[in-house]
Amino acid sequence: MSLLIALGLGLGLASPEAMPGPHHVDLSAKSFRTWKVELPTDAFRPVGDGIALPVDLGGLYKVEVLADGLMLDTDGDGVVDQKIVGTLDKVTGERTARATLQKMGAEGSGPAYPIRLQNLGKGWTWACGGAQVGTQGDTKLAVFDANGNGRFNDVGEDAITVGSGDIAMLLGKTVYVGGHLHNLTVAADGSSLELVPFDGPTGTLNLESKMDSKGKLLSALVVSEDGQQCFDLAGASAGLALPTGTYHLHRGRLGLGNATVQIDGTDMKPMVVEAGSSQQVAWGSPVRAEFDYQREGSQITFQPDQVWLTGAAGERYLGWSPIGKSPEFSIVERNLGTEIEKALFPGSC
Amino acid sequence: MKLSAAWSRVPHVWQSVAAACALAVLFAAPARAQGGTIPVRVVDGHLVVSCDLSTAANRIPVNLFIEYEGAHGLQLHNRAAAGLRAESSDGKSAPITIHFPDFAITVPKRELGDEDLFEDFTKYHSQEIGENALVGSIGAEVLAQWQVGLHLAEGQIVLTPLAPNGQAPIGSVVTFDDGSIQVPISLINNRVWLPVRRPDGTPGAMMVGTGQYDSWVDRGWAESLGKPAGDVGPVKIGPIDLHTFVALRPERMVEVHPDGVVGKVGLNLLEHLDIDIDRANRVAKIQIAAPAKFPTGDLEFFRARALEDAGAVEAFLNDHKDSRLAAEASKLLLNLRIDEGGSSEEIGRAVQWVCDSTPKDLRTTRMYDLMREMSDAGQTVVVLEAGKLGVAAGRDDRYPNAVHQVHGLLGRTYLEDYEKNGEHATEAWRHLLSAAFGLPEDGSINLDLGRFYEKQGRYNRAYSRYVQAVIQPDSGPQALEALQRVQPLLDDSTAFSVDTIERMIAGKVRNFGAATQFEPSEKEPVDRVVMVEFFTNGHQGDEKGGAIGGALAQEGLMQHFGPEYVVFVAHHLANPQPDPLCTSLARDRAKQLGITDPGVFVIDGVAGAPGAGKWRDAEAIYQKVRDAVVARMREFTEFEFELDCRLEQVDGAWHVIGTGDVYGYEENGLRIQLLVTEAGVLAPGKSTVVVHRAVARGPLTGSNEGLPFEFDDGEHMHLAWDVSLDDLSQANQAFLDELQTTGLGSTVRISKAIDPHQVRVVAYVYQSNTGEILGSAQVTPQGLEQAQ
Repeated sequence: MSLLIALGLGLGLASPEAMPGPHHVDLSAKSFRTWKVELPTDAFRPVGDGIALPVDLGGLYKVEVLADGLMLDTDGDGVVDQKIVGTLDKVTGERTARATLQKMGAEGSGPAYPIRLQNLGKGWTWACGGAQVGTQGDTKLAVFDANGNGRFNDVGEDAITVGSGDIAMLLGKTVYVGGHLHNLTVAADGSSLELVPFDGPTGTLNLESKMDSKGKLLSALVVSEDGQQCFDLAGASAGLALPTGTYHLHRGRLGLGNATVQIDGTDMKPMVVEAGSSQQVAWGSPVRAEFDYQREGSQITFQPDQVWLTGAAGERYLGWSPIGKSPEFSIVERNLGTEIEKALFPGSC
Repeated sequence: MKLSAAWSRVPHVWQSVAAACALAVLFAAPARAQGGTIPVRVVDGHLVVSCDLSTAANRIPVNLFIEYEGAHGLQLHNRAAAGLRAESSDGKSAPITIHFPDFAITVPKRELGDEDLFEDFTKYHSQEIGENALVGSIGAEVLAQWQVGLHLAEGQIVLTPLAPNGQAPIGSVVTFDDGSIQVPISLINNRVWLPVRRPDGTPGAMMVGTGQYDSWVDRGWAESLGKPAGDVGPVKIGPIDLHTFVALRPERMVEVHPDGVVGKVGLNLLEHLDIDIDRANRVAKIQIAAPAKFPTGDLEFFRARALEDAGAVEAFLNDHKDSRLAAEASKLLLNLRIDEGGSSEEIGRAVQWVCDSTPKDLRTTRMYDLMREMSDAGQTVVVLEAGKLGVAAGRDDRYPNAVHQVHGLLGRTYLEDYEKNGEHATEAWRHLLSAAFGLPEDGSINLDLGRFYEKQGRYNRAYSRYVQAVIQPDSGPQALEALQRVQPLLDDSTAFSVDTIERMIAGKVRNFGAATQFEPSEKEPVDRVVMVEFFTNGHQGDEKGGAIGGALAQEGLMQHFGPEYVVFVAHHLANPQPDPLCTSLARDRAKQLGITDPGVFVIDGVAGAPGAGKWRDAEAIYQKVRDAVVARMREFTEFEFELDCRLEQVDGAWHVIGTGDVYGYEENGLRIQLLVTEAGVLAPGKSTVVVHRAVARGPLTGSNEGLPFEFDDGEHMHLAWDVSLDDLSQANQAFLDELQTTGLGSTVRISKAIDPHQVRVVAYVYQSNTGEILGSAQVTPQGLEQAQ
């Protein structure tokens, strides 16, 4: 049951009668008024003098920065035509907005390209605000121009979601759809994708069954060494058969209720998947903590951003949310071991 | 120093090493009472309690959520925590007591919660919750210390002390004569789970929660059954079929339970079922408190939602106008219409639904929020449609400014049409004037009115509006450009200048003047000219405090000390974000002095004083800097400057040309620098400082570090310079480009050109190892008549 649920969540509902393939899936542009997708890489980049989108969308969409927003050339004719003010967070001073770019030429309007805009205090940045979406059987597919170059087929740089989940994988050369592994080809303009059953050698990698945690693994993106493959192994309690190769954990997320924490796999050992092999990775608890402190006279200062938590496989846990929980620092007398003072971070940290 | 800690941090309950966890310490022993009854209300799907919070410092009345499943103790908004002084300056937490009508609970500290949620809830439900804000949430870490009776049908929660009976937990469901049942509960991650049977009879578990109104079914499980709308069939606790009481809402459950997660009990079930949870003895008693009446409308919405089809959602709204889910359905409809690129009519209908499903006294506020979003998205038709709805509901809105803001945005939308197509002039004027009537100091509205009058050729009126707009941070830069544009067109036109604008805004912006002018005396002798460098930023702080405090103090100091006594130089740094006057010169000089952030006065490179603060602190800042300057003046300098400088136009460009002889002594590390400063520059920013004074604009030596101080003939150093102001300006723009491309931030580009008749030349000799200034001087170039 759990594997079935996992497939439903992350890999698309199995609909065996529709598989294997090949399959041609038409995709169409969709914007997201409320952005919930977690892209695998930070997609925002400075707007500079304009937003450059090659391919068919045209050249530079000119931008002029204003004190309370920006002026944007939304149709690529070199003249700014839309004032963007955005929603201001009065506490942080951050502004967020969305807009749609459109090529207007002699042949009429071209494809729409929704964007998100934000100003976190260091100037305006932008990222894709929509996706090319379609369905294969009952499985939803959405391809994102995560690297913001106007193309949707950049393996290892663009992103894809399969099914109803909001956590995107890096676009790989293969993908699980309907419980089956397929070779994946996306058209550069994002108008369609092709799925062809994968018949290469595979081995099984399992990051779920030996994750020692009281929470739920929400995502565990593994990326092959050559950057050509990416899979989300969260929820796959029996593991997933992956194309052979060496993989590393790109990032993950662990959750319980509303609380989440991000997992960084930079310091984890690479995971080698050989043909016919099966391996389970033990990670999670016990978690080791390291911290820095500053001592000035009789005062000792601890900083929340100077506490590092490392799991059993070397994974790092970052960005605890919600905040307000604290480790307890105990200061003891060196020789006797008696406790001199306890310290906790205040509730706002 | 990095140490390995002896503990594992387990801030959330999912890590297994819990023994050393701080939470055990934090929440093991909140102050106990004998318990009692907590009156509660369901407001917009949240369980809310009105109570008081107190610390040793203060007591405040508040509203709090009760979230039985929340992985927290007491969450509290920062503003409420500040009022209670919940944390001391050294970071130590103060215990907080929650006062209910007949008992109280004390928790050792607060946690920070979702402040946006708390603020929005207060904003939109202020009538239901009364005068007191909703500022936080009581979670499982507090409630786990009690037996909890959830009696929502009676509007109360009953807390009684835990009382273990020493018996083994019951293993199965027990049914009593009165129809109530007793079930074993499981505690996973500090949450309470009830045993349920799925439709096929297999076991599962449902969490008990009070954080949401709807009861949930795990979306993944429902989808796996081919029931994405959540209508999975009977889900039973003993003989009680939950599915006859409520339509289970399919949502992703981020929870774990060994029997499998079926869903979560929400407030809608608790309105029908009284549940008494006895954690100590691992048992819950459930009694039906209100008869089942299946809400078919809810299920229909979940079906429409699962389809992700706008037509289905709109059909639901047509059939269930008064449904409690109508507001959510309206928002979803609008999302779907926008996401699919619906027609203006379709989006307009969705906007109408959003308006209709919003409480009458919040419709204008809601429409204004929507208008702003749609304006950014270029959906002009929707902006106008929402604006009309907003204006119509304006009188009833609880926020009186909302209707003026709606008028303002409507006016701007019509204005853009007027500017582009020459249409809707009357509508633009009428709405903008209405907006200005309600919000006379709003910068954007004044700016738009100025644009309207300018378009009509009524330049005097336009100028007047632009002057109103130039002093506001949001509209200042655009208003400045507009003023430059309109000034030559005025009937009694004078040249545009800082001085003109300064006269116009006098009285509208804060100012600070020195009561006296400095005169040397025996008590305050002068043995050198002192240089005061002011490191600042136009966006530091706001109108209440930040750069404004330092800028006002600088104004007073410049009035007090003549240029023969003190040379002033202001350097604009790129923190917290670049402003138009940032230069690489400022960055490098700050680096020499070890300064990283703005808000500092530096006296001759050796003494410092605060350069930022509240506007009312300006006098205190002024006094500190004055004292430091006077102290420094007593220190004799051997350096003397003879500077001859003029402004001259060369091929249409203004050049600063001059020669100088500097006397003193040679020493390793000594350098000389010559700067162009501008006496006044207009650059309105968030700090609300409009006119920046003595702004360093660039070096005349070709280097931010200046030149080695070396004698030519054994007794002095001779200098000569000829630098184009345009070159300096271009170098500054290149630096702003660099900041932008390196990700340090971008800024609006105003006051790029250096105004020749504001130019001053500053010279100083400094020790490059320490940054200390050993001698300085300032001259005003000749040739200003030509510049004017």
